[in-house]
Amino acid sequence: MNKTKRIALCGMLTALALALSLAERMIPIELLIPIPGIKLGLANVVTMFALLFLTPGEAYSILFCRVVLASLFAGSVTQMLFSLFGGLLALTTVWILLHKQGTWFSFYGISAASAAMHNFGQVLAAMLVMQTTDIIAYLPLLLVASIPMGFLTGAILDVLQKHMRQLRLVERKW
Amino acid sequence: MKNRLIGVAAAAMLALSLAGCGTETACSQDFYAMDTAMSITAYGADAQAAINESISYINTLEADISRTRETSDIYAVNHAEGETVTVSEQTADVLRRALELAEETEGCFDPTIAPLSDLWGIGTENAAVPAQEEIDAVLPLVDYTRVKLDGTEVTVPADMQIDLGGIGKGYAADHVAQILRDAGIEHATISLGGNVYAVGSKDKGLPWSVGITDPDEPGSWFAALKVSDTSIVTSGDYERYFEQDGKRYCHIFDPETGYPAETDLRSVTIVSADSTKADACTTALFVMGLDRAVEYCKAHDIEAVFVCRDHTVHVTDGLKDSFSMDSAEYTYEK
Amino acid sequence: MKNKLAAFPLRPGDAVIFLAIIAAACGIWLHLVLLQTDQTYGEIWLDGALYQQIKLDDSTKETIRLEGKNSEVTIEADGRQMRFILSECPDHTCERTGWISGVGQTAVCLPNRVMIKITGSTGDEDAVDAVVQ
Repeated sequence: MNKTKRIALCGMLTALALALSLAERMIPIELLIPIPGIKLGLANVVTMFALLFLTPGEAYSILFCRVVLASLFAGSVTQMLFSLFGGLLALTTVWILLHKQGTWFSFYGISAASAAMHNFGQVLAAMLVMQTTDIIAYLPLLLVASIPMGFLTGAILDVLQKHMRQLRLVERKW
Repeated sequence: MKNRLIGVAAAAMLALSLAGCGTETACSQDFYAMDTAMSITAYGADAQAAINESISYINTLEADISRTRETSDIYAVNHAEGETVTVSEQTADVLRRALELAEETEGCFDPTIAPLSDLWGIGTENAAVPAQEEIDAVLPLVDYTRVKLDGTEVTVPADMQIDLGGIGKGYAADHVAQILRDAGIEHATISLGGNVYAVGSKDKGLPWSVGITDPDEPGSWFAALKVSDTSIVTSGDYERYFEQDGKRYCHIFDPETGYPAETDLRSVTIVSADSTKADACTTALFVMGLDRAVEYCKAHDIEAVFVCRDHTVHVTDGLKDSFSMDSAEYTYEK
Repeated sequence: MKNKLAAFPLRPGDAVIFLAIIAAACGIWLHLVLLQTDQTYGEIWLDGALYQQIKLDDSTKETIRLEGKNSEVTIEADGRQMRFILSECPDHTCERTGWISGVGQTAVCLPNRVMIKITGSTGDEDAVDAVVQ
């Protein structure tokens, strides 16, 4: 794949991630559960996909661009901090675990770990920014929920990567 | 990822179940009325509706008996210059109770005390000890026997003033308790300024625990009473007062002397299912002083807790089982 | 390449991940339950609405100024207690109320419609349901 095509693909993925992250802001979760910076995290599916088919550098770039742009379009610096912290932690976890994908871990386990680390990162960032440990009370619930939903996102990613491999749009790296 | 959605949904359901008013959870509301902070906590499915009804009831009562609102019945009576004024059934009922209780307490509670308290200005910026001549001039205006109530027609001599603030909160507490009971609520606490009404019992039939304010530290309580289905009212010298030349002048007046009541008591707490009566009696017993108050309680079957200046606490026989105190600052005289 | 494994998608390491997540969740939850014993909060209510909640612990040291209904009030939170220190109202009842520290205790500045109260777990038997003032 030539360089222009790669950049175009990265741009498209960034746009997709951005669209997802902006779309999920329309779901007023903060009204239901008052943790600043809480969101669905749909956009992280895109960055995981990028890690799978592009280089780690490109995946991190997409993550970074998406978070910064999303907070520019709608949001605040604090929200950006939460997202960046959670996103980086989740992506790094995925990157490490992908090395043993297929032998030690499946997409299901990796997705669950990624989701758990994303929640953990967000709560950690919120604790640091807000100088309070109170919000940690939400973490056990969020962590447990990571497992069933890791199955779902893992399944999506599994199906997606099989089809993308057949399409041969990009070479699969892992 | 969507796991957050599940987490959020679970947490939201948890939050909603805590905030909502299910059968097991409490509905609590703080509000301001009758120049005081009020709070009602009720348990049960219809708790919020019953609380709303209670608040609107208190507002209609206040609209009738407020001394300061220009549209109230009492304002009209006080500004009629001796003319007869027709008031609402409700106003007449509160006034009737006030006059009865004044009679019962031998005038120690007097609903016509207002000219005197206005003169002293306690609770305002101008609080000061007035000249004796001023007090002498105002004293004849404090005499509940000169108030004529005939059905809903009230006549008050010119310059005299009626103030139902002394029993208004108790009267409101009695009626709010009835509103809650009528709504099928079995467990509730009503706190209207100093008046508490404990409706029913706590969950599992346990009695409510009501703290009695420490006169030395009005932010805390020094003792507690275990009660069910009754009201508790306290009056003390720590509520509103001013200090001049190192002496404390409190907001409870002795209608005899025209001075703030100066007895051996710091506070009087009365336990009675009739909150209106309890409200008037705390004031009256405070004015009487310990010995006369204890006698009065025996004669009239009133249950009370007295806190004295010498830090002794006296409890009437009927309350000894429900009273508990673990403060080292006070001595419980058994 | 991994098609022969597709029949059963999970790998052994997945179990480790799931267990680690559950262990972390349980650990944090247990830690919270054990620490929860006597955490109290100081709440400031302005005209019936919650204005601010302060977590009260031994290191709390905060002074809050707010505009009440008629004038400014100053509230101090120090350690596990809280009080009004200044109110520009005529009666000054709130300042005289002094420190409040027990769950259920309140202090009110009536002219400014500001109420402070202590909330938190009421596990201890000293707690009361209401206070006559």
